[in-house]
Amino acid sequence: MEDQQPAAVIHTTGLTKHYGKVQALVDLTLDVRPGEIFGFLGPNGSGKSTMIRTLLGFLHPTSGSASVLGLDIVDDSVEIRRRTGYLPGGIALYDSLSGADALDYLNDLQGTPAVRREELCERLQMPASVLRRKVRDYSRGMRQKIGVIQALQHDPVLAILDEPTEGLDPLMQQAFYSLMDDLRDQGRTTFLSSHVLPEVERICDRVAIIRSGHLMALQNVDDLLARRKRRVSLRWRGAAPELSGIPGLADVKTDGDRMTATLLGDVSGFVRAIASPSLVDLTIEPARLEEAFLEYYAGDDASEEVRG
Amino acid sequence: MSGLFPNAWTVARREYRQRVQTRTFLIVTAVLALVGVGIPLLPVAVRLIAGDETTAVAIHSTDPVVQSQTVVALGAILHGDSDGTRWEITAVGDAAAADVRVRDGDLDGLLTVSRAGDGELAFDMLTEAGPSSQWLFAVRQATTQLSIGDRLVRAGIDPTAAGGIFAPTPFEVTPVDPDAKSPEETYGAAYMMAMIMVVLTFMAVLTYGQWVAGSVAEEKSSRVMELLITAATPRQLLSGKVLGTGAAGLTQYAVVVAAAAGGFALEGLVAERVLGDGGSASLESVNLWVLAPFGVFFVGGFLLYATLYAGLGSMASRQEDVQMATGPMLMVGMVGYFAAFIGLNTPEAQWVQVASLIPFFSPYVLPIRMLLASIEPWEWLVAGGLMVAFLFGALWVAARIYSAGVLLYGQRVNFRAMWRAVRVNR
Repeated sequence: MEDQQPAAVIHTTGLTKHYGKVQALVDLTLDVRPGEIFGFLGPNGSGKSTMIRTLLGFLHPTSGSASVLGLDIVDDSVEIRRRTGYLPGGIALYDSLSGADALDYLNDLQGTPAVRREELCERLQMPASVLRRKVRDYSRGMRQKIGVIQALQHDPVLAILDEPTEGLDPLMQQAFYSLMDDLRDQGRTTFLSSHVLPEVERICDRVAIIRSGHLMALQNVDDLLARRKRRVSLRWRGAAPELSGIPGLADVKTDGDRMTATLLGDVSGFVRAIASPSLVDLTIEPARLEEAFLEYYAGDDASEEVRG
Repeated sequence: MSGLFPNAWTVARREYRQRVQTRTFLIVTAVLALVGVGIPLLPVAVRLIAGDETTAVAIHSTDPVVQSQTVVALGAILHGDSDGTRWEITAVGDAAAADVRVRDGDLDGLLTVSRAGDGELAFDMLTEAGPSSQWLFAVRQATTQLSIGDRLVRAGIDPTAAGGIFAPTPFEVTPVDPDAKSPEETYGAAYMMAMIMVVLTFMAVLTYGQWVAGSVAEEKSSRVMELLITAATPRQLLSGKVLGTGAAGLTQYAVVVAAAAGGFALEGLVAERVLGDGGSASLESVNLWVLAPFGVFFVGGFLLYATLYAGLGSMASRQEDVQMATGPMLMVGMVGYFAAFIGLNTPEAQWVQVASLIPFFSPYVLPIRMLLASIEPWEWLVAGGLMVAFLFGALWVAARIYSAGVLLYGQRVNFRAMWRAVRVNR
């Protein structure tokens, strides 16, 4: 099985980083596959940025090893950085440069043609009139957009993005999500960190949950969602029919014409069973990773720390 | 390993533009240039203000012969002085009236001359001038000369022959090396020039080194560094920063030095126009072309210090820590500076010769030897070779400190951690 998988874009083995006595990363082993969007999820201070800085060679692991694009993170960090697009968390730019100058400058240093610049500026709504202004006058969101554009403008095979939607308004977050979808369709790989669950749920293929430097879970997002209990509520014309035989349905509560229940897994069997002219209203709440994890790690206070 | 260029140029260009375009830079440079022009012209201005004043001294004596002789002799001695003071020496008969005029400020002084019983001349000056007054000092010297002349006449020496007694003795200095650069008459100017160069070098290295360190720390604390370090290598960023900020510093420096040189060049002209005499073009006698090779060492030394300043600046997380982090460079610079000042008086000493070859000190010590002693061709080669070697060494060490330092946030400046970084970090 292992042989059939294409080589991992990011591969870590027992990666550990201590700052003095503080354990920032503990024995992290994971793979990021080509063409996927990999979410790295955890509360603030859980080690997300440490992981990213270690992958880019800014920090050296205390023990363990890792490779990015097949290159060793300690020996070949310069080459890794050259081939990767990176958005640091809490981006800072030179205040006295204009947005366009900042992008030009970083691209000059990077040395690969900025083939995606125009497309990115358009999709993230950074017109030339805004790019001409000095970064000093930018809002938090505009700076973040410059950060995203600079990370992706040279169309890197791997983008490492530290909390990419921080400071973006909901509309721009959506634009960013669709951008991520397109990058995946074009075979680019993205490693992104986030503390926002719905975001990871929306864009990621797989997700790793980290807490206090420990890897708590590494799951396929679709699998998680499929195995998650959804809350359903229904309203009938007349009395509610008997539904207890449907697979996955539990906790059925009937109150006159209203009924609530929880549904585990696939929704199709349930939808077929309830299909009836007397059904007036149906609500299936979207599956939430938070609850999925709560379920997986019930009793483990780790997952409660992850905020939605 | 990626090459240094073109990224180092890209960084240098931005650093240079960003700094030179700031209002602070323009204002500070303009102010310093004005000061540069002003300092050489200051003596002219002082003379202009003081020059119109005439020092009026009245001579009184109960003995009319002594009085007239004193007026003539004192007048001759004082007018012979070339410092430009104008004298008005008059004889007064009414001491009480003159006394009042001194108190009113009409007269600068009333000099009462008397001959004591043993024949010695005695002088008593009534004046409001303080003990440090220059004209009072001049009069005092003149009276001493007058008194000695008077003693010689009383001892029976012909007054005409007495003049010859005060004539200067011929004294020539012949240098062993006929090419030696310090013939007696220009030594003073050369000494002065060497001192100015030591001070200017010291100021340039410290001021602009501090700029480099501060700018590194700023990029680090604002976290722009994280982006830069992804796009370029630490060595490229470091060299670019040193070249760009260094060039901006040297631009300011060149403007100020040019302004000062212009001031010195104008000094004679201005003095002639304003004061009607040639003044003293103090540094004209030094052949400035002998300083050309020094330019190379100035730039080399400057880069050496600036590179290490950049490396150490990366250890600071905040602007407040920059001073502490760059402390070692200040100390090394001070050692060179003081060594140069001591060396000014012993330019031929062996330790000065050795110091002038060591890269950290050569920018300070070389101008002294160039102006006040002589340097063998092999010494130029050794000093130059060592400078180049140290520059590369400094770039290597600084790049390691830098790549370790720039991303360590919020940590106290710690030289043990730095040393570890230098050994381990790639």
